[in-house]
Amino acid sequence: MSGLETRLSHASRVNALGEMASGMAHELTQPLTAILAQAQAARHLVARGDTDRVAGILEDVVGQTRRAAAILERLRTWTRPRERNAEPIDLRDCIRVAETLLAGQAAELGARLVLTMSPTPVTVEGDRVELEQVLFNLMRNALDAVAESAGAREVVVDASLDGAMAVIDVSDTGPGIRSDVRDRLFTPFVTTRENGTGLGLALSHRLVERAGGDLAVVEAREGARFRISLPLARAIREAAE
Amino acid sequence: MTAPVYLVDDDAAVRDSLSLLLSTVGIDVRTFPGPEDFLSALPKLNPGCLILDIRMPAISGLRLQERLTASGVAWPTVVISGHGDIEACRKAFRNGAIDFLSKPVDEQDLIDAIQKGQAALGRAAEADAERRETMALLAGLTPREREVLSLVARGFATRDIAGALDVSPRTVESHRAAIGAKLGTTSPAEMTRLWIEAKSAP
Repeated sequence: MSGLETRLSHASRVNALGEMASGMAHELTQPLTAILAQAQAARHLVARGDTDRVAGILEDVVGQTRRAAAILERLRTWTRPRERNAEPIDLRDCIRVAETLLAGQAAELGARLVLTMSPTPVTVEGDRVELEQVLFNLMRNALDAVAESAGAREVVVDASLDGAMAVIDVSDTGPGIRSDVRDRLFTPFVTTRENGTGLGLALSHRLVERAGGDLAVVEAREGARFRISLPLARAIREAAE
Repeated sequence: MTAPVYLVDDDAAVRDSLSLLLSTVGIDVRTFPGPEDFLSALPKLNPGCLILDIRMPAISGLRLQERLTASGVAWPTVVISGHGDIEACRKAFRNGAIDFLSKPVDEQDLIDAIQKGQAALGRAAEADAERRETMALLAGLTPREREVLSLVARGFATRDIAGALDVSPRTVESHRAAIGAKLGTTSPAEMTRLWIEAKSAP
């Protein structure tokens, strides 16, 4: 990727951060709630001399602190300008990360976020943060789309294997894609959103291509459907042998 | 009296830690990972105080609150939330929540809210017992006595009642005496109160 693209990608990540902040805040309150309750429970136990159980509770405090630290670490990897690092990634994990970050937005919209996942790993070669970002962008766009819908608000993310390919479909029950932007969807700065930057899809497209795959709009009965196709890591290995 | 506490939260660590904390201060607590689990256990549960996380997959805490209200379960509910969302808070109160707490929830706030809930449950149980007692008293009346009592409750004097039922005022008086003996009061105001209480029973 050129210097400009690296900066673009960084800018886009930082832009998405604002939208992630609320999801992140909610995520962090869970371990904090647990830690506070554990500490206060341990204080009661110590006060009455019942110290046998305290060691176990402290273990749990450590565990929850690590959980909070991992959430912060994810935030840092998103904000830090970074070198690309390709490794085997189970796309189901990326989908779950994006789901966690968007659960709040979905709840506010009264939208259902449905994941239908292959029971076996959907492992591709790519950069974790980049792929998480692609999934986050597509799922957030889908939620934005269903927000305009008066009927059922549903976003379905389907992860499956098709021969040597991983196929991820992100479908929504929104109004669909306007015909005037359909051909320019992946062009930078094309947006239908009032405060959109027009970078999300363009960047996602480029990131998927860079991992050796493709991002495309496919026909859907209603709403919009985006499909990510990426070669499975095992197929890449076999081809190399 | 200490009623049980039912905690519904989809986060296992939150569930375990809050239930640990509450049990160390002597509160009887049962946890459920989701609204569906709670709803399926509900028929076998004793009345208790509910602590609901507002944001859970499938059915949100708010939706569960609505369902419970619709099915006539009016247990005191404390809503807890990971983000201080004013709109959600307003909805929770509109659905009858007795308190709304932000995570991380401080021990004292939680215990105060639970005590408020348990006090409300205690009052509801008392009112319920009183109503049952009244029903039992009224069940001892004859159909004629019930008729007389209903007219007393509507404010009619003995003479009017006698006219309405086409009997002598003395007969009405003796009915009234019998009613008084059975209900343990001769005051028309008290009789009226008991009658209305029984009428408002579900």
